[in-house]
Amino acid sequence: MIGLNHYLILSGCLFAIGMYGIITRRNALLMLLSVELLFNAANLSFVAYARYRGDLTGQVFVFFTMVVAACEVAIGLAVAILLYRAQETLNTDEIHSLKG
Amino acid sequence: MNEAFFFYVFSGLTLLAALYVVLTKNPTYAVLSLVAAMFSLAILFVLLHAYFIAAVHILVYAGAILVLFLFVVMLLGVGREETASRSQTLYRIFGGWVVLGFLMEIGLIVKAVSGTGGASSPVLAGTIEAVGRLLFTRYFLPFEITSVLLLVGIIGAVVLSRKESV
Amino acid sequence: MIILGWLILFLPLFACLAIAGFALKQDKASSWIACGALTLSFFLSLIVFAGMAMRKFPVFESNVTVLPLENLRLEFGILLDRLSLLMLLVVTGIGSGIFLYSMEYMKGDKGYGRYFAALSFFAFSMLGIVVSTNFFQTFIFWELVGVSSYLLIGHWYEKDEAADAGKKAFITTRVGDVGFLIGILLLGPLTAAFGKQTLNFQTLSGVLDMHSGHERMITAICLLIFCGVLGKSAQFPLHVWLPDAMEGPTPVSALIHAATMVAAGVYLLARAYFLFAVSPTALAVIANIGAFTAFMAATMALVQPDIKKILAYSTLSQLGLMVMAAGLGSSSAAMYHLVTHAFFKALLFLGAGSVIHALDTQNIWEMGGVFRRMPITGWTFLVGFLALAGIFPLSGFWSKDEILTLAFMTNRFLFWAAVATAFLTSFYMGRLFFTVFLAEPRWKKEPHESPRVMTVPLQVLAFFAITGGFWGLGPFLHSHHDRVIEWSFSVVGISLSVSPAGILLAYLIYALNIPLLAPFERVLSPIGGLLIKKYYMDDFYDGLVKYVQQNFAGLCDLFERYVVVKGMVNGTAHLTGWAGDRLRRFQTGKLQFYVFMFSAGVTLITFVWVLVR
Repeated sequence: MIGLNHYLILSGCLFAIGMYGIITRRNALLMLLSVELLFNAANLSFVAYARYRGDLTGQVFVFFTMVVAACEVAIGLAVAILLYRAQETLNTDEIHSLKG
Repeated sequence: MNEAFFFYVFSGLTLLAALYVVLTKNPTYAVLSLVAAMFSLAILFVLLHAYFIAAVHILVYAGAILVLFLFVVMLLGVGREETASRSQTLYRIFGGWVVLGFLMEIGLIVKAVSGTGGASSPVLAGTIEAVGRLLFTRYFLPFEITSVLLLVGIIGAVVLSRKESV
Repeated sequence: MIILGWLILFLPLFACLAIAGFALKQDKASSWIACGALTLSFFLSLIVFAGMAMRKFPVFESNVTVLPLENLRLEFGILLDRLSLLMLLVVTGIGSGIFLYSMEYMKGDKGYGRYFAALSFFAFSMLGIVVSTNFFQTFIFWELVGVSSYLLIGHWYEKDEAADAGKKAFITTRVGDVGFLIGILLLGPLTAAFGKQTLNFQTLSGVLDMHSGHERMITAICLLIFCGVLGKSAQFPLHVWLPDAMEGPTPVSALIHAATMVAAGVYLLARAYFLFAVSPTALAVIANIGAFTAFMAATMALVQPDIKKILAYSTLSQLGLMVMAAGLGSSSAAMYHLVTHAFFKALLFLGAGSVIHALDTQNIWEMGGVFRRMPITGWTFLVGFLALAGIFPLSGFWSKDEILTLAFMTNRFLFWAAVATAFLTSFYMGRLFFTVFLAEPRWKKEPHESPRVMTVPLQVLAFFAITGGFWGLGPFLHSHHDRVIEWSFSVVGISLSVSPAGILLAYLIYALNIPLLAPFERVLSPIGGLLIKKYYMDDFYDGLVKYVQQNFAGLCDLFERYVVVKGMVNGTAHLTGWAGDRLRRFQTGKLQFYVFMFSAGVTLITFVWVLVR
């Protein structure tokens, strides 16, 4: 009854929400947060496929993406801290020294 | 039947939490709602027979990553987000359109691929043993490489946040 | 036998390269190398001729494929038949004589070595035309001969007139060569229509004998190839370069512009006669242009004060007669006259050179009474003069008579034109001879007879000029395309009365100074003016260049400057800059913007992808 499609649509919605988040948010940290949402949407679809195709490879992949996400967050936060130290603000509107 | 009930409840919860993450003005609340979303997601994973993954999900995401986020938020004393400026509104509008378009596409894609495959495959249980077996045999190389990746990540983070040595 | 043929062709080339490479500054060495090579070629030609004579002159051909194209083979080769063998002897023989003459004539010249290198190169190119087996090879050597002529005419390049004359010669002949080339190119489709594509003379001859049709195309090709003849043999309207070419050293004039290079056009006509014989229209055009040139040039020679220019116009006139003969139906008559003309014209030029060398002037009004001081030169010049005038029994009489008889048989109008030309010829040559050799001395420098190196060639050439009519050259060269010419007493009668009449008139006016023409002064004077101005042809060409060509070039320049450079080149750069400036605005530096663009892009692409599926 609950088929693959349901999970896929859910995953899609989550992804869309995450997208909206990164487009809309001005704070660098909150942008990163929305990126986490994207990750999770993907993870969900992986696992759904694993369940409905009878292959555990999907779950193994989620494992890997989680590792990668962890690293990414670590470094991303480090960068955010550095940014704050340098610019005194995390508002992306005011950070545009790469303009040109 | 049970499955359906749980699915709808918890997927709704996930979606609500996600919406709160992107819409709230208070950063702390945002992080905490994401934690909630993680939990619901973990339950969905369990529904999908991915027990190990569910556990790891909570451990890693809710327990580590989001805690880290919280630390940084507190550290930097990030305040409430200001009211939207004019450019923000533009972004909201256009972003909304983009997102809606994306949703439409998802719908189209799903409709296109539905019918292929199905629930005819045997349901495998995602136990530690099963996942572990795969992990240490077929996907051993990626496994090792991710450990290197972690190492790189650690070193990177440390290097980046070091103060300039005088 | 064939090896000898190749050797004959290439010996002068080696000489040229040897001189240019090693001996440019060493006068003695360079002249010996050049003369040695050409005389060797001459002896080899004699041997080959004798060998072929013993075998009754079969046709020998040997080809090397230079460029095997898909449909056509481009070859270089040696063709030894009666025509080419005869021409080989003429070119190498007269050439050797002139080379030897040059050794003395050019002594002390600054560019002595360069002169002999260029002469050798010319010999090579001319021989290349002579032994050529196909149109492609002929064209290549045709152009090389043009280059040699340019180099030799402009030998004294510090003199502006010489440099200009060289350029004029080259450019004028080039104009003719364009037509020539197009004609050759058109042979491709023509022969393709008949079977296999070929440019080879022997093959073409056979092909045209067998097939017929394509009249218009053949006529077109003939006329186009004739353009090349117009240029090289200086027929109207491309005759303007020959008088100016007298700026070159006199031996050069003798060799190139009397005996050999200008004869190349007539040689080509003979060589390709199988083609021309098919098209009566082309032949008619050729005959008329030849006759017109002959007459026109003879009129212009009447008023020239420069000895070499008189001889140049005389050459133009005789070439016209040769061309006319070919047009009227007999290439053998044309070639006959070419051979005899080569002898006596070379003789006349070398004799003139001898006089110029002795008197340091080229103006006949500054000479006079030379006969007594330079007897050998005088007698040989007399022989040449009488041969040119066509006096029995010198060689010129026989060959000119062939042509006149031919004209008598086929085209009365042209016959009388030729007769008139003959009269004028005798007259102006008489004018030259009597003024230079017999009139009252007017020289500034005391003349002495020239050294032996110069007078011996004169005597040898005189011998040939006298005896040339008795070797049966006419029948020797007869081909089945030629009309048969029979002896006609009426023609002989007319010509033998006209020529002496001209000489007599000249004698009266110039030797005895009887002013016979005085009563006609008012009529003759403006005509004389027209003649001196060469019928304003040079001015016409000048105007053509100045008003048509320069303006056209200016137009092209404008086009290039504004459309190409300003428009396209600068425009492109400008466009790139503008586009870059516009696109720069995408780099806002704001993260949110980038993210938005990113997501929008992904959505769009996915959309397109979905649609495509």
